[in-house]
This record gives sequence, C-alpha cells and structure tokens, in this order.
Amino acid sequence: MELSTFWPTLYPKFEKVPVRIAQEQKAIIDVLGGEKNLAPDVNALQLFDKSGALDPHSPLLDGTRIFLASRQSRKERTLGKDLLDEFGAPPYGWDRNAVRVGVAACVRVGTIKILIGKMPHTNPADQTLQKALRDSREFEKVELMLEDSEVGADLLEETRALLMKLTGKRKIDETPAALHEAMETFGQDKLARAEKVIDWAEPAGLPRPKAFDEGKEALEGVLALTNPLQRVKEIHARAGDLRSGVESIDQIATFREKWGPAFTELKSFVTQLRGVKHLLPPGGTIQEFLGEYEAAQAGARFAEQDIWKGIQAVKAGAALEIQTLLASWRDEARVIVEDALGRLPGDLEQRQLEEGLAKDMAAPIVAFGAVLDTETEPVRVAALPSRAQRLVDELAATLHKEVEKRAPKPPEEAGEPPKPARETRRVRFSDVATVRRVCNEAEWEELQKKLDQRVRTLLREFEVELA
Amino acid sequence: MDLKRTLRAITLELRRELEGKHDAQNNWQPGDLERRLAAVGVRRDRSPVPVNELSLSADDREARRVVDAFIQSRAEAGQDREAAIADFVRAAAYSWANRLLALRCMEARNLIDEVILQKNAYGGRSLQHQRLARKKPERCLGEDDGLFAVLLDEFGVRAKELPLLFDPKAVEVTLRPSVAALKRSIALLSGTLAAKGQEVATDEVFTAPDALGWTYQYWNTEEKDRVFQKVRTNKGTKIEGAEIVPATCIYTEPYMVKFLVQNSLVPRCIN
Repeated sequence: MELSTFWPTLYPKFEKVPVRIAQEQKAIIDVLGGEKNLAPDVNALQLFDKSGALDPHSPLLDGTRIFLASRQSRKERTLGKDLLDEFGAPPYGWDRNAVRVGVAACVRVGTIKILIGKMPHTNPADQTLQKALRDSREFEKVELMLEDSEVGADLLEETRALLMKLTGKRKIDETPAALHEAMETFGQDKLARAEKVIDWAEPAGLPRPKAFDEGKEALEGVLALTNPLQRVKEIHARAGDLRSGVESIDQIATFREKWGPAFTELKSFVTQLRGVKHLLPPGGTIQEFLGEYEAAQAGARFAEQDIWKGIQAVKAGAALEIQTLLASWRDEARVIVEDALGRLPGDLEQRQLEEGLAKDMAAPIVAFGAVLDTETEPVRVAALPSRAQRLVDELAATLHKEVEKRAPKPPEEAGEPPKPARETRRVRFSDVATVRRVCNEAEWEELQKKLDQRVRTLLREFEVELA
Repeated sequence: MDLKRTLRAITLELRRELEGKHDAQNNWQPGDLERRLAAVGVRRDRSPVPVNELSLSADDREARRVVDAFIQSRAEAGQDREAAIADFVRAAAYSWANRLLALRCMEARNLIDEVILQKNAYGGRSLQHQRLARKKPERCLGEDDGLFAVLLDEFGVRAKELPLLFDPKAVEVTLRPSVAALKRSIALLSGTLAAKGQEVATDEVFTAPDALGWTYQYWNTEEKDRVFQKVRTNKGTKIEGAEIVPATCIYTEPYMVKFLVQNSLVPRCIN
C-alpha cells in the first residue's frame, strides 16, 4: 500500500489547509499591509472572501480561533510555538509558514493581539510586531491573545431563530452576512406593508397600536445599519419590538385587506349614532355598542380578532335597535302631521276662513309627510317630530295672519302712531309644573289652576302661544 | 437528476465504506468498521488481542468491552466467532448509516437544524457543528474536529422522540467509524462528494416521500444479488440465516400498498 493511502488517517485535517507558503516573509508583510495582489499560495489559504474581507470560516483562521479560544477558556497562555506545534503535528500537518500568515491576517483585522515581553502590539504597521511575525524564532516566543470582535455564538443563534420565526423560512445560514441579507429582504417588505397600512389607516380613522409604530421604528433602525455585525446585534437588541411590531403590522395589514370597507362602514355608523346619542335609551344595545367601540378606539384594538368579532356582533343588535327608534320617530312625526291636517278644516271654519285655503296652507305639511320615509340618517330622522311640530306652528301662524288680514282695521286717529303688535310668549306645562305626570283629577285641576293663572298673567302684556 | 439512482449510489457506497464488500472474485473486502474492530484487537481470523496489550482510547476501550460481550453472547447461543463478528459489523454499519441518513432526511425537511449538511458559510461544517466549534471550541480540538461530539449530542436529543433509532448508548454505535470514513460518509450525504458516476446529492434526494423506503431496499441490493447468484450457481443451496433478510426485504411502493389496502381492508370495512 502507498503512503498516500494512510495520509488521510494520519492527518485527517490536512486537507483543510493543503498549502505551502514559499515566501512567507513577503506574504506576512503583504497580509499585514492589506495588499490586494497576494501571491497565489497565499490566496490558496482562502483567508479573504470575495469582497476582500477576512473570512472567519477560512479553515486556517477558524482552526486558529478554536485553538486559542479553548486555551483561553482554560486560562492557558498560548505562545507562537504552541500554535505552530499544534498545527504542524497530526491531525493537521499544516505548513508552519502558513500558520504565521494566518496569524498576520488576524492581527490585521484586530482579532488577535501579540504580546511581546508582555507588551500588547496590535498595529499592523508596528515594526516590532512585523519582525516578531516574520522571524520564526521570535514568533515562537510571543504570546497570542484572541480578541473576539465577532458576534457571540448565542447571539447569532438567537437572532437566526428570531428571523426564522419572523420570516417563516428555515433556510437561513447562521452567519452575520446571511442574517443581514435575510433581514434586508424581510424588513423592506414589512416596511412597505406598514406604509400601505398607514396610508389607509390615517384617513380611515383606524388607530394604530403602539406596537405597530415601535415595530416600524425598529425595522427602520435595523435597516439603517449596513454593517452585518452591527445589524445582527441591533436585531437581537430590538427582538421584542420587532416580534410584536411585525405581528402588529401583519395583523393590521390583514385587517385592512379583509375588513377595510367594513371598518369604514362601521365608522360612519358610529358617527350617525353619536349624532343621536342624547336621544338613546340608557342601557340599550346601541349604548353597549358605542361603549365597545370607544374602548377599542382608545386601546387601538380593532384589528384584534376577538375585539372585532365582538364589535360586529353588538353592531348587528345596535342596527336593529336604531331601526326601531327611527320608526318611532317617523311615526311620531306622522301623527303630528296627520293630526294637524285633520284639524285644519275645523280650524278654518272656526276662524271663518274659506275652505279653499286649506290646500295651499296644508301643502308644506303634505309635502313633508310624503318624504317622511325617505329620510334614513338617524340625526335627520330624530329631528322629524320637531320639524313636523315647526310646520304645524307655521300653519298656525298662517291661519293667524289670514284672520288678521280679514279683521277690520281700527280707524287711525290723527297724529297717533299705530299700536305695535303685541309680543307672543309660549307657555308649556313645564313652566308651571315640574312633575308633568297627572295621576288623578285633583292633580289635573291643580295643574289647570296654575296654567290658567300663568296664561292670564301673561295676557296682560303678551299674546300667548301654548306649546 | 435521477433522484433514485443518486440515492442508490449513495446508499451502496455508505455500506461499502462502513461494512465492506465482496470484490469481483467474491472475496470479502472489509470496510472501515471491521478495520476499526481490528484496531481494537478483534479480528475474524484470529484470537482477540488482550486489551492490556493495546493502547486504546477510553471510547475504544468501551467499544472493545461491548464487542467482546456481544461475541460472548453469540457464542453462548451457538454462533461461531466469525459469524458473530460479521453480524456486529453489519449491525454497526447499518446503524451508523441509518442514523446519518435519517438526520439528513430530517434536516432536508426542515425538521431539525442542519447537523449533516456541510456549507462553505460554516467553514465546511454543518450548522450544529459550527455552533459547537464557536460555543465549545475545546470539544473540537481532536482529530475529528468535534464531529463525533456533535453527532452524539444530536443522537441524544433525537432519542427523546425516536429512542429506537437514535439511542446514543446502543451497542451498535459504541464502535465508531474512523474519522476519515465518517467524513466521507457525511460528504456523500451532504453533497460535497459525489457517489461514483452520479451527481452530488441535493435536498430533493432526501425529501422524496419514499426516500427512506428505497434506501432500505438499496442497502440490501448487492447482498440480495449475491445471495440469488449463489442459489443459481450452487444447486441445493438454501437461503438461511443472515441471507434471509436481504433476499426478502423488498420496498413496497405506494401503488402496491394502495392496491393491497383497497382489496383487503376496504371490502372488510364495507362489509
């Protein structure tokens, strides 16, 4: 059997760095100086990724980091010699020059510092440091210390778990670059969704939950960071805001898609009800509905499924209740109108006016009665009885004018100005009695007496209109 | 890509790598696990080397104890030593391959974090291996780079749901393959190494609904061919012992299952 057959068994890790560096002195200086055009053998070490940044997953750098980290965790000092001996022997068998070039790359990006005579050296341009790396004997004596400037393993794992949950995708690599990329696509998409929601919600009057705005702000903050390491740390730091914020953005966006028109209708229904709120019976379904609506409004909780369903359910009851109220207001107005029209022939006769006047005088009331059922807005329907009463009052005034027109004019005395028309005062039952309910004849007689007295007093100076 | 051909090639290479194979002259060529058995002092053709004459690691010492006990129990049941060793190697190879394949199928279906699939993004490791290297670098200092540690950890976790498949203390996995063989097996499953004459494996190979069923069929393909060849060429040869399984283990395809169910259980249910 050939020796090569046993090579993978003796050096199972050799294949990771199968490179020999010919001119290590130049290679170390080049790497420390950030030279772009490296020798082919140095390039073969795969120390840098395509963008030219140090690739922490390069087998040489990864091996170095693991070795130093494990020794540091055991509180052991690591000399250059320890590192060279480790990687020169089985199971590695790596070129000792390549190992020094790897250390130079770590020094360049600040992940390893070199202690020479206990003095830390981190500046790649430092002549003493350069000499210590280039001279293999001197390198064996220096101490190497890992300065972990990367994102911690737990933080990376937790951030990936968060992103998997947020995006619903599992195929995200657990590297800062991959997490950065995944967040970019996801975050831009969510922000666009949030903007659409805002464009709709503001004019529609849908209050946004606090979580929505905090989540949007967190997304903007995370996306503003272009450095993958910083972005990953920021994602982790704002995990709570992102989690609740994205949930809220999705919830409201879905609400808008599914219930947008229904919410607008609900909002206008509430506006209509608020116009007649003072006329509503206490403890009714409409009051309950308005209460639930206002609570949802105050807590910005319309998009929550339970809340929305609850409001929708009460709304159905409120719609029924308002229809009953509308019908009663229409009926009340209709009764006022019909009574007045029924009394009109008698009123004309009583005042010795021609019967033919009835048609013209009744016209506004008849027209009003014809459109009673076409009014649907609660505020307008609620006002129908008072409108009807006003029309009846106007009819009374017309009657009065007609009577006056026909009355003989008093002879005008010379030089004496005409007497001014007397003012009219209205008298209501409430003017003479706080309790307007009459329970027996005695009470009625008492009320009559008070009313009679009041009217007579007023008649001394005014004309009186009973309301 | 012909997914089944790729799966077949990988399965057969895994078995050859771990258990061994018969060459063109029908001579047995031991696989990695039998060589590992030899390394712990147990060979088919000679007496075992006493443990105190060997320099064994703690894991290998435990493997040797388990193998000795296995051979002893078989001897008590009347089985000869060579057959007992062959049985042990067969069971160990099957168990290692089965576990690696099952993990690969689970991760391809996004059921677990990747423990087999190696990526350049993780420096040629799997996700879980990379995590171990970052969190506990001291466990990755050995020649296996922490590969056994991450696999055995995962066996322990999976055993909570699938104890029969992943028991980390099962006799068959006490003997570990060599690092080189394990890496090659993982490379085949991971798609970083192509099986002979095939393209590298992708997730699709392992997400097919019948992937595991076909794997078990392919595992026995060569053995079945050999058994039937023996029956054809040697008159009066009976199929017996360990040969019964490969000769009779045939994957039942979904259409067969459907036919059988519709013509047996369904009429009974209707009646």
